[in-house]
Amino acid sequence: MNTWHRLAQHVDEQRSGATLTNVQSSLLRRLRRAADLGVCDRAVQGWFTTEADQLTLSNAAPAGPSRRPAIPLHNLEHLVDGAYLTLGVTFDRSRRRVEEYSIQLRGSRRIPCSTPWYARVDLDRVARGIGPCSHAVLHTHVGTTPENDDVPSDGGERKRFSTRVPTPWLSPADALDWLLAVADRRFEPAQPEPR
Amino acid sequence: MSASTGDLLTRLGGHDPVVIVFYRDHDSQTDLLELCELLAPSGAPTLRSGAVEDAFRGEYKNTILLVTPADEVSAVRTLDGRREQLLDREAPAILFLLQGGSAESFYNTDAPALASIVRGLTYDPEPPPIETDLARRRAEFRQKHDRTPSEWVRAWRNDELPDTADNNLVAHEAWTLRTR
Repeated sequence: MNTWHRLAQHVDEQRSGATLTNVQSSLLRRLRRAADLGVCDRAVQGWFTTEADQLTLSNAAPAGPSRRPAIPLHNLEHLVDGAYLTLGVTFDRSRRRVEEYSIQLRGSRRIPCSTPWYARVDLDRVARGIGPCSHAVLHTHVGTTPENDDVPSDGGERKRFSTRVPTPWLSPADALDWLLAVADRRFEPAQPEPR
Repeated sequence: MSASTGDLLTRLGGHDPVVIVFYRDHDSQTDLLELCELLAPSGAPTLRSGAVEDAFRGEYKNTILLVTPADEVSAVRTLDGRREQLLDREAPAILFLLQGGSAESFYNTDAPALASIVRGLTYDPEPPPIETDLARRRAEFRQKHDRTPSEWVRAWRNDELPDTADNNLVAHEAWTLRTR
């Protein structure tokens, strides 16, 4: 077994044991902290809903640019106001595991010409792509916009190019930690106490 | 029945005397207790209690009571039989009942007085799937995306669709709705 298959196995083992409500509470705790820092609306805690084992944002949340509910973000260190989060987490209730998730932060950077920027963490339900190295089951995207990133490299053939950075296990709340900490250092999780 | 945290928030901060939360198993009951404490209004007193009689005690009428009785059927019967006393409550008593358990059945068929004050104020984030809902959602999916959920999943797995956040979320829905 090579590194990439071991990584896939590690992620597969770690995604078990989570419950929908527990994951929802973990996400809400992070977002309440974001609200305390003036980064999102305090009403965010009422914007979650579930349907058929899918945890998503409800229509109570404002619509994002694609008309899908999104969490608008303000006062982030590196992104201009109007950035937003989208998210979805799906569970397998019988196996008590996170089946898949996708959490994205998208906005424009606080630099001249305000370059579009996004970062996303995706946990795929099953292996996709040509293999676990280029398309690890849990991976991050970072780039300008996914629409510009994920395009064929040539004129005729469908050879999609999208940079997926493999990561070890991140729970949905860990993924949110990462996205927020990248955009604003106030979200860097506290250091553990030295032993 | 609601699965919205917005509805749960409203109920935790409201003055309805009783709200029912359905849980799937012991672990989910624990998680839901923590969720209620997390979403309770800041500064509002909350108390976990195994005794349904606490819902009638004057000193707890302003306390959000999280009631997890050992005998759920008996708790429903008690609340149903003492409806008038519940109306004095200023903060809700949140009654936790096992989803699909005998207490839920008893509540639906034999507790009209309690049902009249609960008025559908129930929260269940993981309701059992209902086939008619699935059929409706499959039809809506096809109309919206011009493919059946199974067709979407096939195209997604074959990398025929752009790997955007929206498409990831649509893929989640398609997996849930696909027919094998």
